Amino acid sequence: MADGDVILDVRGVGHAYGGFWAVRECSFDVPRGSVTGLIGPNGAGKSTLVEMLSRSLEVHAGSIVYDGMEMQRWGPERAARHGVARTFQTARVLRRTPVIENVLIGAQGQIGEQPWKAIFRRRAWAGQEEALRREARELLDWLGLRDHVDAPAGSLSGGQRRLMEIARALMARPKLILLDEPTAGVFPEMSRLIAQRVREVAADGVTILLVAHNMDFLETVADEVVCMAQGHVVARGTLDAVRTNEEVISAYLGHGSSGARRRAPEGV
Amino acid sequence: MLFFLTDLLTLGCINAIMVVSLNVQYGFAGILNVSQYMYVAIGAYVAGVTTMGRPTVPGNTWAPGWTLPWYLGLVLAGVVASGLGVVIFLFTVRRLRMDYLAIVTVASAYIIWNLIDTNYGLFNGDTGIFGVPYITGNANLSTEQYSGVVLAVAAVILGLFVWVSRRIFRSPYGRVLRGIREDEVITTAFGRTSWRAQLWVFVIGCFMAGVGGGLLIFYITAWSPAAWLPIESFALFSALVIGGSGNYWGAVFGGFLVLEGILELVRFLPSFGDPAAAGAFRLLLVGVLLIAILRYRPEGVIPERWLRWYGAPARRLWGRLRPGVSQ
Repeated sequence: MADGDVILDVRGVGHAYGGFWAVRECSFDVPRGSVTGLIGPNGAGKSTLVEMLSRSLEVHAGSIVYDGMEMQRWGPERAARHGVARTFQTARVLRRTPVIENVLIGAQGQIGEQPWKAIFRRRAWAGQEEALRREARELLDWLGLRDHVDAPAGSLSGGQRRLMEIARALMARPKLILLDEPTAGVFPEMSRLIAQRVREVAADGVTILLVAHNMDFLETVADEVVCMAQGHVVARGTLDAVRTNEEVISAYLGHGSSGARRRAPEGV
Repeated sequence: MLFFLTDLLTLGCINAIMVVSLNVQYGFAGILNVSQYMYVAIGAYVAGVTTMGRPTVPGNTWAPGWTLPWYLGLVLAGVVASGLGVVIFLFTVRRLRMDYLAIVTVASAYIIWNLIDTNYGLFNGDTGIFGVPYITGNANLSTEQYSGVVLAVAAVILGLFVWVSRRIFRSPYGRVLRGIREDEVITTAFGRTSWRAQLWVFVIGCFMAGVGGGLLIFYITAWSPAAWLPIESFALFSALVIGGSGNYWGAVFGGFLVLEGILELVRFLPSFGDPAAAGAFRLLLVGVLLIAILRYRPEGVIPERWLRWYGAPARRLWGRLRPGVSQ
């Protein structure tokens, strides 16, 4: 990671649902090649922020600079083409479609997606398709889904779906991956695997921004965490520093908490 | 009896072409186009007026009245139908989803139907066009023989369209279309612009429908608004859903069974009461069949699933047969 090299710069971003600003004046940056955790109590605006960063949700205020480009007016397709891949808060899969086909949806720049070539020039894309299938198989193998490659994605468990989503995101060869609660509803064994894989991906120079509630998980994966509350960033730093930050504690416990109770709640 | 069989097969092939054309749009890409029979009709008109010359009976008008060879007429039928498809697509499919799209496509079919029904300059209004020559030219053929000729042509074209469908289905393009059909949010998040991907499959579907219409008019030699009431599109949909939406063999099956088989089945019923009852009974039978299928076999008689995993069992078997390779 080059020092001071920022891949994502969020500048005073806001989004309002009706009249309610779920995210307001939110600013932070993400260094290239880092793993940044996004934490905060329920309703803090983490998922809204992720939706905005993946360009699925309109940005009502401020700007987002991604890799040197202002991206707040892009559509989600454009963000994806520029190397932003994501997973969803509740895993989204094509249920009736085999896992490998689901993962292949992630791959960008497929020659065989051009209608004319798809129909009349099979040779132009057959080689690429073969290579992508091999890559997808390796990814699924690496994520422990070897036995499910040809099964319909609807037959996967919740945790397996999250792993499959990660494989799909990696198929896009992204620069930035947004993981929205990758360990929600995932049993500990599997979330350890996810943590390990996230570290390995980051080691390859891919930047990862993830929303998580599981502090053990964050402890192993995140270089830094950004804590949000009521649509703002309240603290930022290493997990240990943020955990003891007064504002973070009051955000989780409410403002009336007494000095005696001023410690992080269980798991925080 | 022979004529009965060839006639059955010829119309079956033509109907199968129409259902296959709907399948690439609705089955593959989930475009709820309830105006497909309009593209069939446009194809029929275009194939007619470009090959049959000017009207000889006074009081009738149609344009342009060319005398092109039949195969060029067929291609033109497809091209004009897909051209209309592009225009309608950009106004409707690009902006609307699902039920709204269905409503607007039906509306577009009614608009075009009324335009053609009331304007005599283009396709002779509600009288329609007639006297389309046999594609065999002046060769003196009996109806049985001609039926066989059209059957051969229709079968080849049906085969070609099934092949095109298969190519789309098994290509990355087909995969993206299925992705859009099932969950657009995913494909959009991974860089695919839905309408761009859907545009081409819509155009291909319209082309196939137009060619199907062209074949139909070459076979029945006349065409008028009464032959393509917008409601006919629902028959195509029923056929596709019963046959197996998303599976091109299901579409072929639906075209033969629902549109042709049931019609002919009704013919063997003893006549009773009103002679129009047979036609009504056909629709009734399709309706009952549709409800039964949706209740007991919602994926259709030949479900898409049967195509989906074509590779997997074969690959596993191959792995078992090859020594030293386990899978």
